[in-house]
Order: sequence, then C-alpha cells, then structure tokens
Amino acid sequence: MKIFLAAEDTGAIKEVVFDEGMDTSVQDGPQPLITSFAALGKLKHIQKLALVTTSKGTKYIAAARKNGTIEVYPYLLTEESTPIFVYSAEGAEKCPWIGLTQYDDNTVVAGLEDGRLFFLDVSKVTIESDKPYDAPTASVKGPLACFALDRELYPGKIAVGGKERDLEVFGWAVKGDEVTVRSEFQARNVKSNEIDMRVPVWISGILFQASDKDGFRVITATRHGQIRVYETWHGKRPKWDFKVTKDPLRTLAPGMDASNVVSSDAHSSTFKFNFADNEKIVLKNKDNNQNKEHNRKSPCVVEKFPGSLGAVLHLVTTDNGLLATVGLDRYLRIFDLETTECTAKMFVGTQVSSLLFVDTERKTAQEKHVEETAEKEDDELWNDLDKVEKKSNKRRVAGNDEGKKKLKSA
Amino acid sequence: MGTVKRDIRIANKEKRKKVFAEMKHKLNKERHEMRRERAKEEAKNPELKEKRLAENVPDTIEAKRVYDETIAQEMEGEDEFKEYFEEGKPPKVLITTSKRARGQAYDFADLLYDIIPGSEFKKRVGDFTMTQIAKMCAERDYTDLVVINEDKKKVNGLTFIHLPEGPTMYFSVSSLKMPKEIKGHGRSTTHIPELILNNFSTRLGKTVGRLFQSMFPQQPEFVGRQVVTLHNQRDWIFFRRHRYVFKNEERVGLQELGPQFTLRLRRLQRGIRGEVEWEHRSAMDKDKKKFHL
Repeated sequence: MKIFLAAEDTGAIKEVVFDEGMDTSVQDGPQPLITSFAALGKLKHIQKLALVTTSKGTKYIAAARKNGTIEVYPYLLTEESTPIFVYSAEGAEKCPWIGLTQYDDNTVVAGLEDGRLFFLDVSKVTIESDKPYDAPTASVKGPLACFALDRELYPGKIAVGGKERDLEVFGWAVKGDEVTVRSEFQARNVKSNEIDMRVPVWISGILFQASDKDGFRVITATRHGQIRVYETWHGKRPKWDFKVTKDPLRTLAPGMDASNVVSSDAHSSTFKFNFADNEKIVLKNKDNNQNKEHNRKSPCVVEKFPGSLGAVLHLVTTDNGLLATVGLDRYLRIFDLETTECTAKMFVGTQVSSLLFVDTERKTAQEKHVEETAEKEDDELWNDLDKVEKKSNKRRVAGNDEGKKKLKSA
Repeated sequence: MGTVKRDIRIANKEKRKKVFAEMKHKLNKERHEMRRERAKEEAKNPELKEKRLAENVPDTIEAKRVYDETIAQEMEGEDEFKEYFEEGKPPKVLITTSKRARGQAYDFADLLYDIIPGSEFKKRVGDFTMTQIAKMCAERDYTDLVVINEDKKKVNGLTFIHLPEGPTMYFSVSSLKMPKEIKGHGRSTTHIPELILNNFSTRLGKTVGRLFQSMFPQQPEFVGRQVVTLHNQRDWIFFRRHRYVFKNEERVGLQELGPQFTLRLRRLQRGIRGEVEWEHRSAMDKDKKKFHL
C-alpha cells in the first residue's frame, strides 16, 4: 500500500510504502519505507494534496501550499523532483486553501477561504511556457471552510459552506477562460433553540450522497459538533440534525454504505456515525462472549476508532473498507472500516495536514499465506541447491580419491 | 536489607519488641561488617567492584520502559520555537493568574517572577478570556504567557502559551513547597540562571523541553551560580532551584533556593487553545512502563 502525506513541519511530501499489520512501535517488527520529497519548510507547507490523472492516463500530484501556490509534481517522485507547474493565486499568502480535488480528466478545483474557486486545466500547464497561465476563476460569498464535488453523482455541482455561511450548492460550467456559477440550493438555518437563541453555523465538512429523487442529498459536519442531512426535495432546512459531540468536528468521509459516515473531532475521537433508524445491530456481550441483537432506536455514534492521541486533521476512506487517518499526533493509522480495528500504525515524524491514499490494494490473509509459503518454498529450494552443490563436491573429491586408488592398485 | 524471619512467638509485647530489635540490630551489624570487608577488598582490587556493579544492575521501571520509536528519531523540520532557537529572539514573559485568584496564587506568581528573568506580572482584571489576553500579549511582543490556576486557595495548575502561534500546554501542579518551608534554603539573586532539562526524550518530551528552554535567556550569568532544574521522571516533571559552590576540584556544594513543585503535562494544544495535540487520559496510567515525555 502507498500513501502520500503533506508534512507540516518540513513542508515536504512524504511517501509511505507499507503493509497491513505494520506497527513502528514494535522494535523488531517490519518497518514502512518513508521517503521525503520537495521539503520547502514550514512556512510553505502543503495544506491540501490531490491526485490528478489526465485523459492520457498520466498521473500527477497536485499540492496547495501555504504561500498561496499550487504545484504539480510528477507521480514518481525522486529527490531531484521539481514541480512541473506552479500556479500562484493572487493575494493567497494570507488565505488558507480549503480544498483541492480533481474534477474531470484534466480539471483540478482549488478553493480559498475567501470564496475564490480556481479551475486549473492540468493539460495546459507546463513550466516551460512563457505565457503565464490564467486559471478560470469563480468567486462565491465567503468565508468558506470546505467545498465538495462529486463527478459521478452530481456532475457540474459544487457545495460550499463555512463560518456563518450555510450550505449552498452551485452549478458551474467552464467556457474558455470563464466560469459561470449559479446557485441551485441555499440551505436555511435550523430553528432557534428552546430559549429562542439562534443556532450558530460553522460547516467544516460536506459530503454528497446518492439520491433516487430529483435533488441533492448532502451531509454536513459542523464545528459545533452537529451532523446534518439535507435533502433538497424535503426543504431548505436539514431533514435530520444530530448533536454528535461537544467538540468541533473537523472531517467527514463516506462510510461502508450510505447509512454510515466517518468523522473526527478537534479532540482525538474518530467515529462511525449511523443514520439508519430502528436498525437491528449485533453486539457482543463482554461477560458471556455471546452475540445479542439490539434494536437501536435513533441515529447515533456506532463505534469509535481507537488509538489517536491528538486531533485527526484528515481522513480518507477507500472502497475496499479501509480508513486512513493523520493528524497532530504524528502517526499514520490505518483502520478496518467494518471492525474498527487498527491494522497499521506508523510514526511519520511530522504533523500531517493532508493525505493521499494512492495504492489501496489489500492482501487477504490467504494471499499473504500463499506469498509466505511461496517464499519459504523458494528459500528451501535454494538451500537444497546449496546442499546438493556441497554434496556433489564431496563426491567428486571421493571419486577422485577412488580413482587415484584404482590407478595405484593397477 | 536482610529480612527478619517472623518466628518470634513471645506473648509479652514489650519483650517481643525487644527481641525483635536485638535481632534486627544483629543483622544490621553483620551487613555493615560485610560491606566494610567488601570495601576493603574492592579497594585492593578495583576490578571486583566493577564486576559486582556490572552483575548487580537493579531492575527499575525506567529500565523496563516500553519501546518508543520517537526517542531514536531526530526532530524533523521546524516548530513554533524557531524564533528563539535559530533567530535568538529574547524571551518576554507575562505572568498572570486565573480569574478572581486568592491566597497562594499571588505568592506563587511572586516566585515565578523571581525564577523567570525579565518576566512581568499583571493582576487578572476585567473579564478577558485567556485567548483574548494571549492575543493582546502577542500584539505587545510578548513571547510567552503563563497563567497560574488556583482553586480553593491552592495552586493546582499552570498554563503556558507560547506566542504568537502557540502551542498551549496545561500542567497540573502538585507537591508545592514554598522556599520558607525548605530547611536551610538560600536567597535567590537576580542573575540569569542556568537551566538543566533532564530526560525529555520523546518527540512530545522535546516539545515540552523546548517550551521551558524558550522561557529563559540563552546566555546564563555564571557569576550567580544559580541553576534551575526540570527533571522528568516517569512523566512527572520535578522543579528545583539551587545555588552551587565549588568546594575543591572534586566536590560541589549545593544550596536549595526553592520553590519545589511537581508538574504533570495534562494537555498540549496547537495554537492558542486550538486542536488537541496530546491529552492525558486516565487509561494511560494503566501501563506503568509506558511513558510519553
């Protein structure tokens, strides 16, 4: 498995090659291969990482740095690797990047906190070109904290949100150097609370989900500890609003199925949240170790992913049931989404702001066993060969001796 | 020490105590004699002592420490203390207390003012939060803010905020002993003390050590012969302050100046009370051989 990390303390891209079951806190255990590239220092550290695949199949790594630049690196990084393209957004030095993601074969969308969205065409960018590249830019009302795109579910749509900036979904289209943005859904805040106080808004994570009706189904996480589900055909207010924790939520990612999401807070908790109402769940009784079926009545936090000592700044889930988390405790952790078991834990040396899970291939226990036995057989074969060689030498010597004796007797 | 077998079956308690004391005295005497003889032999042949010390290594919890991969690794990149360590920015520390502090907090503030050279004390007035105070301090070029937490007239916590970008560390304070409670204590001078930081070995420990280091000027005044020690043992940080004197080429005399207190890191937050980087949980104390600093 392979992951790229954005190291905050060094400003580098770190490549981590590892296997499931690795744990750097085991002294004699197998260790991951960690390599650093493009270290430009903490002041220019990478805030967001994205993988870009062009229509020709070429892969690149896009990195949004703190100094307001977006750099595109070749996928196969070496120590001498330099960016093949650098795009500097005007006045972005003091404004953090809120997101960086590939939309289609050539387009990368980057967003700044002040509400500016850049649509970079990777096929047009080369560092050699004399003409400065003007990326098509759209501007929406800020300040933003996050944005979300989903090419497969809702092509041409982008959802944004931030501090006192409730969820808004835009439709966008790029024509030449211009981007047109049109608002398609503007959420309304939830009703005031029991003492008639306005509930504050601070969206920190957005996730599109598939819907069978005409409209959007969007899930948001907030820095006030709520997870909200919006169905645009239902109304402008969220259909469900759950107070999950008292701590600010930082991240949001899809879970195993549509009824699950994974989120983490600014403390050290990472958890799985389930929306399904009246769902039957099976829990193991610790006393007698027997499974018992429970009828869970309301959506809630189902399970926690244990181990993290500090806030998780970025988490990614994969289609094959893995969760990767990085954050302030300087560890990269891999979990099994279903069992919440930590399958790999690696100390990476620096705090990490973003990660890119590029090789998610999982080896099953059976495959591992087959590999191990094949290796063992190979080793045995080689050892046997050595023995045969040694034996044959002896025979030759013996034969020679016998021959000599025969010669002598003759 | 030798163990005394409990085979004294004397009904009279006074008599039993006497017999027991005699037995113990005898054992002690034997032990002392054995040690005297051993010392004599080892004086003749120093190799014997070396051999004995090599064989009798005591088992300590520290020696059985759970492997921590962060100890062996060097610190990567830069941190928030770069200005102090690389650019040599002198520290400027503001000391204040929790809201409506009473009693011991002010005495302790007085001591901290004495310990940290060039620090200032401001009484906590108004209804400002710690975040607001930190912001105001950063605007006035302070490098650190120290907030003494007091509860029921006892000092029970210390918050250190490195400015302008954090981190924030909260320590609990225990076993506080004021200088006047220390027998034979000396009086401190205004010289910049030397600093001894012991056993801050993990990545987290290094951050904590660097915070303490960044609060003291880089060039100590050796004329003052004052030393501030922050000794970390099993995640407890012991604070001591001494004055030393070279009695001859081999012997050094120490005089404690006080105060004595023990710190324990409870929380490390990024920025000014931002996201949690590390927090102490009671479950962490379960494993007696796992240390975090």
